Amino acid sequence: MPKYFILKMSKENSDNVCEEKVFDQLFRSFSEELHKVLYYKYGADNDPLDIVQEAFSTLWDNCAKVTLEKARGYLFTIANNKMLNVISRRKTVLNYASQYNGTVTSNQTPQYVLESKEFDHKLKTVLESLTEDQRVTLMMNRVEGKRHKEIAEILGISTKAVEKRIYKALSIIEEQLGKKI
Amino acid sequence: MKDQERILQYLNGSLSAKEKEEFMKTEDYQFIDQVTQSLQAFKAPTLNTEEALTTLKHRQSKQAKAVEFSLWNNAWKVAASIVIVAAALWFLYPKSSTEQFVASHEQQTEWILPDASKVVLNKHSELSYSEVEWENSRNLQLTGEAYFEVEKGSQFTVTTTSGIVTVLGTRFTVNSRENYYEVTCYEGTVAVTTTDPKNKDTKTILAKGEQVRWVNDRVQRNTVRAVHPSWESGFSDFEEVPFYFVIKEFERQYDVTVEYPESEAERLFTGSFHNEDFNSALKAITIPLSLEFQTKGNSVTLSK
Repeated sequence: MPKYFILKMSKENSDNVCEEKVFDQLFRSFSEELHKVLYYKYGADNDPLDIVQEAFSTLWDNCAKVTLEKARGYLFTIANNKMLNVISRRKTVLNYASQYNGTVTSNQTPQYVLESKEFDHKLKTVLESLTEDQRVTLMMNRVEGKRHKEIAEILGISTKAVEKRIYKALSIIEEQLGKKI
Repeated sequence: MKDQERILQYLNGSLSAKEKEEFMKTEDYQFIDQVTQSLQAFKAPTLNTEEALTTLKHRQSKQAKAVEFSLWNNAWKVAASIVIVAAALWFLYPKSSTEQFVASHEQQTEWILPDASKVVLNKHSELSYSEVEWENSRNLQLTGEAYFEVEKGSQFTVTTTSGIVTVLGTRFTVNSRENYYEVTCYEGTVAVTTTDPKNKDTKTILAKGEQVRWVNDRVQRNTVRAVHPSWESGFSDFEEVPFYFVIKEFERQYDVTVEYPESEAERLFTGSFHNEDFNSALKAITIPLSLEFQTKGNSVTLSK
């Protein structure tokens, strides 16, 4: 269990997941992180938020059987299983974030603007073609600014595996898009 | 990509300052930097944790029979609470219930309206609506400039002194300043009706990417390629706009007064300035017109 979670929980006297206070605290600590992982793995079209809610719902129903220490791992496993069980799972599509205005500013040459737009467009295709594991590690590092060790903790894999996946993802992007832009 | 070890150290943020400086000279860095910048576009939307938790509880309460049962046992307590709360509301609720949003002079501000529509108010702008009537008619009064992302629903109206904009659900900006009225549509369609006596009752329909502007009493139609207003990301953008208006916006953004040669007032300006970097903004508005500037406290003088 990550250290920051233990710090957050230490104020609570109880470690009974069936207690609403404890459950709420779990939700506040992990829902965002779980949502991000699901979003980057499976894309916007597979309702990651819904799956987060369902996973927590399942945790609540089984609260007596799950200890506080196991809760986080339990949530991630349940969420992943639920996602994989959705029969009509859609192709991973990443939406352009709505607040994003592009890397283009007014003083760049039209040629540059055109080329960087093309780059962004191609990148979307390559990104969607990566494996789920490659994409989520890459995005957690490059967009969410997480260190390799943190990502390893979140995904429950080794730091080495994280590094391997990020590097592989970048190599694929390089191969598909070329260094020259 | 060549140096795998170095690249991974960079990605993990574990290079020393000197090593990083070295690394930034390499082609690998340029590539990774470009990719990183472009990747930001695919950032996951932020989760509103509290809202999500409330939704979850709501769902669960529908299922949980045990909870319902205990609620029934305590029915008289619940009834009493409702009476007390209702009474309190009756006495405390303000008689007039106009909700007013005011953007401060220092920064733009973002609000969510009761129907989940989003508003971003630019500096020196005000927005108000009646809470009571909101349910029936989504009607807003605006002075200044604002960007809207309207949720689908009943007719949504923005009234200013110069005109009225009506939509059903779309994204657009309204900029209503002295002798200047501009509406830009980023998504969907909007209808603009001017109420200024000089050009009364003209109705204009704007589609995605279209803009209409009245400067004094001249009408101008433009197309815009941006998907968001530039000021929302910290820039003021102009396309063939009279210089005096550019100056006014500059004064609003930086809370300064600007003096400039009168001969420049009507010249058309195309370009943009940064809203948080005074010096670069000043250069951005003076260099294109070959003007010199002098600053003194809160006043700026431009000269030829």
